[in-house]
Amino acid sequence: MEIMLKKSIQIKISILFLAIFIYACTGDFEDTNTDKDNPTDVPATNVLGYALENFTFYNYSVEYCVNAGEFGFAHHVGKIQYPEESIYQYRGGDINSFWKLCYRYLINLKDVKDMAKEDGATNMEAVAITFSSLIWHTMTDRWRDIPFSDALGAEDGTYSPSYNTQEEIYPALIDSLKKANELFNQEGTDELGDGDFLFDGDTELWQKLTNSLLLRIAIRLSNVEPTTSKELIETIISNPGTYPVMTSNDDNAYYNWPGTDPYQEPLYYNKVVDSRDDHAIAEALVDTLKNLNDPRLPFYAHPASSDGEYRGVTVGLNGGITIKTISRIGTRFRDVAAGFSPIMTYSEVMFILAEAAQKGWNAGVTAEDAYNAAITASMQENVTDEEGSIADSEIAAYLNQSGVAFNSTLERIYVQKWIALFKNAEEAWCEVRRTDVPCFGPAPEGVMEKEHNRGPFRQPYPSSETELNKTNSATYVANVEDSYWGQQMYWDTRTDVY
Amino acid sequence: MKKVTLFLILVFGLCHAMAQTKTISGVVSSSQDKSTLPGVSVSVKGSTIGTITDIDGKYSLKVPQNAAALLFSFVGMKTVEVAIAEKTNINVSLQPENIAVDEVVVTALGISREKKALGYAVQEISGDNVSTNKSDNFVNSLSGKVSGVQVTSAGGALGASSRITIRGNSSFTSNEPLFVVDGIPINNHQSEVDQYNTYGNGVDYGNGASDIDPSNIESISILKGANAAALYGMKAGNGVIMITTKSGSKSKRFKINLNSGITFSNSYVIPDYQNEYGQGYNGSEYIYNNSGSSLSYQDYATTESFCYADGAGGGVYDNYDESWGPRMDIGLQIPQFDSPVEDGEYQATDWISHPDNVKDFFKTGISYDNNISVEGSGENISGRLFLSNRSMEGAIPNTDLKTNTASLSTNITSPGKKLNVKGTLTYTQSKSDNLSGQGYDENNVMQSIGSWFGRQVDMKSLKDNWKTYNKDGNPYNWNSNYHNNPYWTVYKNTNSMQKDRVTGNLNASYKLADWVSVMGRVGIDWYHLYLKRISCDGSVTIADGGTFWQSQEYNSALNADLIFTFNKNISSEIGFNGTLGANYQDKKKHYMYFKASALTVPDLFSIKNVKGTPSVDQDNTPYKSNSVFAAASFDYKKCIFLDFTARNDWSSTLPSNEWSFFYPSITASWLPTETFPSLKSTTLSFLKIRGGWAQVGNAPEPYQLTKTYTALDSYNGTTPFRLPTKLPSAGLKPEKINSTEIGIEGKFFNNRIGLDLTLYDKIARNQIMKIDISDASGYDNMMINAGEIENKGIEIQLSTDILKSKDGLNWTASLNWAKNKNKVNKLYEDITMYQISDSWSSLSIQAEVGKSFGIIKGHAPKRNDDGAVIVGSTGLPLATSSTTEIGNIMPDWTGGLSNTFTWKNFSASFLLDMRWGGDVFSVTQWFGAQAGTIGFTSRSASRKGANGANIREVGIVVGKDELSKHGAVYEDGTENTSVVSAQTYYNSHWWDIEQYAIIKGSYLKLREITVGYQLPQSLLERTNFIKSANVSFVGRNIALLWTDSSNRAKIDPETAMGTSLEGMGIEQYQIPGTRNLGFKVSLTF
Repeated sequence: MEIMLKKSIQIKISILFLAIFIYACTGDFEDTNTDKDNPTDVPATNVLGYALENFTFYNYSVEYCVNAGEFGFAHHVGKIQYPEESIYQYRGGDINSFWKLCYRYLINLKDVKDMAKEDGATNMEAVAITFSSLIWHTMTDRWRDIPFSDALGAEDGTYSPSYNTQEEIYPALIDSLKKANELFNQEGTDELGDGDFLFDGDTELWQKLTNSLLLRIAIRLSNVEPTTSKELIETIISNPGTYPVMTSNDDNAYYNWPGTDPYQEPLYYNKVVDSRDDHAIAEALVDTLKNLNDPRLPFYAHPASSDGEYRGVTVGLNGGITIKTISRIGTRFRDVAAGFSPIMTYSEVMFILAEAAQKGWNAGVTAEDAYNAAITASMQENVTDEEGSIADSEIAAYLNQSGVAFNSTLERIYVQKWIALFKNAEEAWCEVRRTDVPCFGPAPEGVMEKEHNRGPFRQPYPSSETELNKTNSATYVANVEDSYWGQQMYWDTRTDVY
Repeated sequence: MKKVTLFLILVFGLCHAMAQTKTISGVVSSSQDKSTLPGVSVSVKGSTIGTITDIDGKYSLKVPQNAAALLFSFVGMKTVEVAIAEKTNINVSLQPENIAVDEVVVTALGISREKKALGYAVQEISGDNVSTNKSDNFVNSLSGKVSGVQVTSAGGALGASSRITIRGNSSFTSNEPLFVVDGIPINNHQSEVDQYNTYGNGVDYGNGASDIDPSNIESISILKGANAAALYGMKAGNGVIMITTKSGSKSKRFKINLNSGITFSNSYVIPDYQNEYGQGYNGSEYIYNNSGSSLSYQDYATTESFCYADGAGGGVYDNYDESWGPRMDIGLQIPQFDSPVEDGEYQATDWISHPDNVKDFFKTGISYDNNISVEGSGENISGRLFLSNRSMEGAIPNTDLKTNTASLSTNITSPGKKLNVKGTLTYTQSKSDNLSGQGYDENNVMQSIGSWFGRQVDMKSLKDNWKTYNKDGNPYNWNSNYHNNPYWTVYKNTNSMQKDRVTGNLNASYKLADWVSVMGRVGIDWYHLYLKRISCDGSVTIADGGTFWQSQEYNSALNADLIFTFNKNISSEIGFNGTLGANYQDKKKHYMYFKASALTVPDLFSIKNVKGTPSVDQDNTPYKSNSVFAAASFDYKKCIFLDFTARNDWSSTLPSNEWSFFYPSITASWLPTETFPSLKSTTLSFLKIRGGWAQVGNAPEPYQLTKTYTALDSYNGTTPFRLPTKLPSAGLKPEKINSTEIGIEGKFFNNRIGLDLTLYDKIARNQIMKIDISDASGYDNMMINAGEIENKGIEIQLSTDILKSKDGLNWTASLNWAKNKNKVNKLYEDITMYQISDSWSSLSIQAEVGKSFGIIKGHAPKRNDDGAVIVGSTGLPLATSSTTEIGNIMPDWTGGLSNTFTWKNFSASFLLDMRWGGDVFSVTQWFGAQAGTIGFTSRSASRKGANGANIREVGIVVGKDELSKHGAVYEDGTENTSVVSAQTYYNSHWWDIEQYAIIKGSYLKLREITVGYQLPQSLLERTNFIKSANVSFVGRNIALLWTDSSNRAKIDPETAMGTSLEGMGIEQYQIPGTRNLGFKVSLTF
């Protein structure tokens, strides 16, 4: 009997062990589930660096520019192999991705802004606002009406944001950029840090970009909201102390790539790392430059390998291209790993002022002087080891030749601006839509159901938005026709276009 | 061969008190075949003292000094009463009561139970069933053998993983069952292979379970539903595959077993290619005739369609990797990549077809499989040593896989039989110098030769010259624009791996009393995986100098269990078994990666040689859980059984207020033929009705609760960081799977026919899932508890002894069939669509509320009310304006039929494996048509008036030559008469309509054939030392007997990428499956 008791004690002790075993070890659970390889807090400058680099890479990459159409839309570049995109067989995935990426950059910049605010870092806050505005501007000019004021609210429970029209977004962007300018004028002492991959911490250059972007927005509104446009340009130009803008090529917002993988110039990356040879210079651009004897031609294009001639590709051909007869994009723009992506240039600023002056507004400069300065700046940007630079005498001769010399027409300004915007396909496409100059006429016959007398007005909404934000997007999706047409941009005052 | 021998020494000392009782032990066997009987109830007559026999039929029971007799009872056997008297050893042989159903199966936690007592579906297959006719991945051997189990192999790439699901897909995350080896869950890890090689890793390095050598498997129990698996808790909601490895405990003597096999493998499902038109563009007679060209076809061909100069656009369309070029075999002379060069110019040579050029690339792979086992036992100890070496070569040149396994198991019992200690330790090493790339990746040779290819290319030229360079300094190849020479790919751009894995368990059980024992068990699963992918200087898309990446992964898992088992009859009529236990799991994964995107010294693949900054990554993911569980089984007169289980888990991956969660199960079964013996007849031998309800909980992966920043590659010394793209949820709850099943089992005509039928309904609720949200919210997706997926199904197993004769021909056939219906009941709030994956153009795979999981969406041709296709003015079909449902990846049903014949010493068996439905988006069909390489792009036109001429001669009329079922009309309703060139139709138009590439995934395959011969005993007796000898011929994947007509490219419809859900339903240049034929010799000494 005594032994049996022992036995039951044995059992009880064992079960006690079991109980201890269970309850003793949840103490380190929280620590176990804490990620020790990835931080919960990082310096704002490192997040800024991500947004600057990644937006620039994709906005100037073939995937989201050429393939999704813009180079082709602006007739700067066309496809010589796999021409599907130039006949509007767009790759839905690319549209989805760029939309997704833009909002991703924006929420990261919002994060930068929040951190900057908390630290009282006014310069950092202003930079975050400026770059966010640039991205919003890019987006609204691609998609017109988008989630804007209600966007970026997932952390507060807004998973399906409502939309704002472009008419609402433009004034908001003007306010934001003005706010950024005010912040810069507070002359804060905070440094932008290692993550300022664009201007290496130079807040003056950032402020000039901020106000130059205001000019870009203003001129875009010049046909549809002339009063707003005029007031904004005149305010900026007449108060250079408060609103400094780019005044020379030294102020250019060139994103200069380090050239080490994966941070290589996107067209170079496509050509060399991805080993693609799908893009060449467009016929319209080559022909224009040839006709004008433009000294920029050898910078913009390589001669064709077959016969040494400059020959562009017709945008919208569906196959049947003998690629050796076509000129590829020039050295400076595609062949350098440590190349550049032009976000905005002094030349563009001067074209904006030329147009404003031509419209009779006070641009602080005559239309002709601004026009000549814009072309000269564009010429001077082109310097390479192989081709050297363009001599002042060549520039002077060019400015004097017929077909170039200023003739007080907007058309001449627009054509030259289109040439100078080479590689900034985004802006060139906007300007082509706003001005209808150069006019490329009917869209190439593609897969759309009806004919169109102009190239694309816009980009289609991503399928993710029509599926995941159905209720909010439905009205706006209905405004789109044949993916790339339908309702025009708010600032697109062209008539009889379809 | 590197051999490793491992020794396991177990030392154990223990003192225990002796009772005033005496111990009786013995062995219970069957009188029929002398085999030992586990699970036999042994009790003292007139008392509640009792026990059951162990797996070896042994028992040991403490009885009071005054006990008179022992009762031995077992379902289906006559109960035997033996007087004790002075005996301490009583061996009993039981007679079958009737034709008995005495199957014992291994259930959760390794508990052996009579199958008839179970209230849920368990299917068991023997080790021989997977080891005789071996697959290089043992998971494949389960295909067609178990109802409700769907195995999808990734094709013919050596070492690739196989996907296995039980009772359909119920989760948006993992649908993999839990693999348990000797009671210890093991890691069935999978490599992150995806369609487009997004991770730079388009290689499938296999799934964890494929490390198991089938020769070392004793048996496999498949616990199909949550009911069976409830005791395993988390991760068991998708079923459990329980593997018991062989041990030496059963052999009564010293035994050596030697197995040796050789297998030859050949690609057996190669897509159908056309052999009329070669590389180039605009080369068909139709385009030539309509071009208005005044040139002869010969001159037109070389000036307008194809002429090789440098393979990169220097000639005429020599940069094109498409076969829309000139006609072959009609005497044309065209400069080609393998033409002689004179004065720097490629000379015109015969433009002729090479119909077998794709097939010629593949070779016969040879695999050797040798293993030896040594086992023996003494009074209180037994052991087994297993050594195995498998050396496999793939059908793709220069691909290989070598696996070595060493396993030692020991079993020691104390003299008083109170303490038993056993353990197994297994070391496996898998090594490969190169595994084939997969998916849409340049390292997958099928991307070029299988689709984007010149059909005139002579593979022999590529093979003979791949080490040389052409006159422009590029590696010798048919195309220098997009592709590497396939031989260059497999010899120079390699994917090597080495995996060292140790699994083991140590198990000690102690009998505290006759009715209660305690078992402690510790199990480990450690592996180290080393991967290296190199791409040599000169490859297309590779920077100068070459690139490489290398990763190392270390995984450890520790499992500890403490389990009490109780066995005490409540009365002579009501029996009781109980289990009370706890489990502790501690898992860790350490991962390190680095990559050089360019190299300073070409082809020196060391990180020290990097040009620029290396990319690096590192991750450490720990995970812990605790659990307690209890089970109680009651039986009434061994004819009504009632089981309860309950489990509570604590998981480190949940928030503290949610990390404890509880879930129960209840099952019951009733044997009417035992309750009412009068029911039994020669017609009905046995009947069982069962049913149950169970719930299983699950926890998320680590690190889902907090927001952390992601680091990107260093930028001039600065590390950019970004926010996560997945919004974390601090309030995640455990997910729950509820499962109900009922079943009926019957044996008829003296056991000649057996039927097992199961109906189940499984609802997964509150799933922890990543749901996409509008990108405009700032995040791509978020982790939430949402969704409800329901799987309902039926499983049937039918086994019959068609012929039964002691000395004549025996024929047994068994049929497995299962149908699963799936429905997505709910997602999240107003979100009605969840994208599982996407692919080319607008193709996506979705879960949509109200529909079956896995619908394929894309564009279809527009049709009118009569079903006729509507074409535009050019005669090309118009696409639907938005995407529409064009297929579903889930099969309607799966089935397998196996037949075994034995006659004297001969045996033969074959297995048919069938799947109905399960649509696939075939990229081989999709791009093969666009590239003009697939067979149907050059075939006879079927419309009247075309006189059967080739469509490349006479063009295509949509509605007659294509999409002819309901015809085609213009938008005004009149019949389409426009002729379009085949090139326009396939090359330009196909991209717009994804439905063209949807194939129905149905197939019938002759999966296995085995023919064996057992050498007669009379012959062996003369040798005096060989105890048994067996030779067999084995064949796997013998033939794809049938596939649907929508499979126009003739691919293997059984296709997947890796094991993840994302890889289902999309075929991206599958590696052709292999047919394996071989011989095997098995000797026992």
